[in-house]
Amino acid sequence: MTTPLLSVDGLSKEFPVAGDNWLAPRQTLRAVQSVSFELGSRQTLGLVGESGCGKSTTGRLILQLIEPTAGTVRFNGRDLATMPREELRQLRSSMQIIFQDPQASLNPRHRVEELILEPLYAQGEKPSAKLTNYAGELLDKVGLSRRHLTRFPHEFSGGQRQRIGIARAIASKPQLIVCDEAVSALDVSVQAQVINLLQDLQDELGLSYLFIGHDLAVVRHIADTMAIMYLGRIVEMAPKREFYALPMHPYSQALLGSVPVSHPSKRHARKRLEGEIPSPLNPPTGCHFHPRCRFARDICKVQVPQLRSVTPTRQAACHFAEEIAAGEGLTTGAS
Amino acid sequence: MTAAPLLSVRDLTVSFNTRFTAVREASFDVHPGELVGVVGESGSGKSVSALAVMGLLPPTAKVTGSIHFEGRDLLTLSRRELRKLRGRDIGIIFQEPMTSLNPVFTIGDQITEAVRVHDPMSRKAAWDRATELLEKVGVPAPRRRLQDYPHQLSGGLRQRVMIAIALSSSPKLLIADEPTTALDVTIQAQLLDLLNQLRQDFGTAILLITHNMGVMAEVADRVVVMYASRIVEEATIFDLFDRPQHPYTSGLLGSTPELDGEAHRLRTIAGAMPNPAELPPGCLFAPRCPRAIPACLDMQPPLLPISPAQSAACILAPGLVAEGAR
Ligand SMILES: Nc1ncnc2c1ncn2[C@@H]1O[C@H](COP(=O)(O)OP(=O)(O)OP(=O)(O)O)[C@@H](O)[C@H]1O
Ligand SMILES: Nc1ncnc2c1ncn2[C@@H]1O[C@H](COP(=O)(O)OP(=O)(O)OP(=O)(O)O)[C@@H](O)[C@H]1O
Ligand code: SF4
Ligand code: SF4
Ligand SMILES: [Mg+2]
Ligand SMILES: [Mg+2]
Repeated sequence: MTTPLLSVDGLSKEFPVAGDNWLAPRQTLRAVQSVSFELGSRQTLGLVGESGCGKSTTGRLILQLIEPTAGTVRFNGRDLATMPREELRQLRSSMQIIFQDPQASLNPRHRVEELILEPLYAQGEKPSAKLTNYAGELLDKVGLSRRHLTRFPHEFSGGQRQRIGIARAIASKPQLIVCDEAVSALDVSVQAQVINLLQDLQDELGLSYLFIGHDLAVVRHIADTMAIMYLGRIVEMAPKREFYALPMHPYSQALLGSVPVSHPSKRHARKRLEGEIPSPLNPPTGCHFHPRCRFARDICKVQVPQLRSVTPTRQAACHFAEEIAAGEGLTTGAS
Repeated sequence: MTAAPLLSVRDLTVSFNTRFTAVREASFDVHPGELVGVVGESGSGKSVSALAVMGLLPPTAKVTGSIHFEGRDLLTLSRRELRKLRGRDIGIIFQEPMTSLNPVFTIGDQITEAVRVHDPMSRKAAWDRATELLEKVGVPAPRRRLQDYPHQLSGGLRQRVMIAIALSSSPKLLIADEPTTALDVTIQAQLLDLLNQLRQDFGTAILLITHNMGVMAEVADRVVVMYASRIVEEATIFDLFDRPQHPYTSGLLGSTPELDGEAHRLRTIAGAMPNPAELPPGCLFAPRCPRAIPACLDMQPPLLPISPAQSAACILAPGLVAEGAR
């Protein structure tokens, strides 16, 4: 068996947060709880969930931007936590990130050339005519042109700025890019351009993406595998096609049911998910989803459902996954 | 539709200085009980059009054309008359409720104040009415919620409070500018259901601004499509999806990611919307239009009817070709 490019095992992150007032004790916010998954080379994992469920924290943990409370991140089989400092610094260039808001992630006082080459300077490379030429090539690749090299970020539209962010992310020839809501703030017509660009670059450069998003319709166009998060935990993981044909976890079903329809003829009174997302500081006991779940029974209030294989290709964290799937006409092999 | 429109906007043009025009010659109607959507890219002039209708543009804005609401031209009303109308007959919901709610007063204080402005009543009665309004917009445990401050509420609940305030005077028209854009999809779905329900229960007409075609597909009766300061198409929601007449509308539909069918490569519209201060000559969409012909550079095609229920601003739209041939 080949080693996956990225392998995450039991990853957890707790943040200490102040209490409601100065007398209240400090509390622990469990932002990410025991997250495990693998990501192969040239693959895209779509990580989807509502705000505050822990997607960005997961991305930052993988990139070693913050330290995990527990769990390991392996890159090409090597545990990043035990890797010598110098080696880790080298390896950092193999993992890059693209953020939602290119405005905030691009230093407004730097010219495009500097911005794009920054990851290389960070590795100790010095400005040179060769690098300038390389920066021009990168701009061509992302659909801009080398005459933009001397411009400043404010001279670009939102979509163009996101292209600059992408050019920077691929500058150090990474193997993995975490796309944290990378297309969420873009207008639809520009969003489509950037999604297509990311796909082309993946094919051309053999990239793997951890594609973080909250819009299931957008993620469907780029992901190979889906992971759905709710309040710090992954509740379902499945190959893209199988997931969209029939999500298994009641939360995934509700999430998919909330996506606006693609045509007015598909309007219908749907079962909406009721209530709000509970506070991650004080999540429900047992299955985090139980107060909003229409299948919940007594056991759901006390016992945490583990993420487990329900079919050979799919995992779900629900005590009644087989039953619910059977109710939807999916055979899982369970009696 | 035969009944007189509730809102009738004609040739609305809004400029901020001599060089920069944010909205050009916009004309559209909203009938009683109707949900009209305004869709378009960032900066296309959606919010400025809505602000013009609400009389909330800054004094630096130069506004021409007419905006008739129940027969009265809002552009001729005094600021005071406008304010009265706004609170009573026209309700408003913005994208970010936090900026419209006062952080130092409780939700209850703010709703009861809105209630009493239009309908003087005792504090106790106003409090009951506020509870009722919160209940109507689906806020759980409404009586307890009235004691809360805005920051204690989630984004979705805050937006429900804003809708409750907007409904406090039983307005005939609700203007909602991206009311669900900042919210999670499950909460967005709940709020769209709520808007639909308000329409059924009270016959409130709604002007809904969004950049999301899916949201339009969920709730709109009719849609106005804006591009770079102009309305380029207006159609019923079914015509818009089944027979879009303007190449920009088709492009927008093609680049919208969908949940149905095979996950295909998205269609795109090349380029980006022009900077409103440096508009191209002729049709504003020409630099990005896959169907552009040389004649497109000669003049901006006006918005003309193709059928009784659909208009487009494109020289290739069938009705317009006939028009040109005449
Ligand atoms: N540095 C921090 N200190 C304290 N709490 C934090 C910190 N960073 C994140 N959190 C909390 O951890 C939880 C998960 O946050 P995270 O940013 O990972 O969510 P997300 O899924 O990316 O949400 P969004 O869709 O809003 O970006 C949230 O409750 C957040 O408030
Ligand atoms: N008060 C103002 N002064 C000057 N220009 C303004 C003002 N308000 C808006 N504009 C400009 O008018 C144009 C149209 O803006 P508008 O807010 O209507 O866009 P929009 O379609 O609502 O976009 P979005 O989807 O981003 O909300 C933009 O170029 C904007 O920068
Ligand atoms: S474990 Fe119980 S509450 Fe959780 S999703 Fe499954 S049925 Fe619902
Ligand atoms: S007028 Fe010409 S450029 Fe404009 S939308 Fe129609 S075909 Fe395209
Ligand atoms: Mg995030
Ligand atoms: Mg706007």
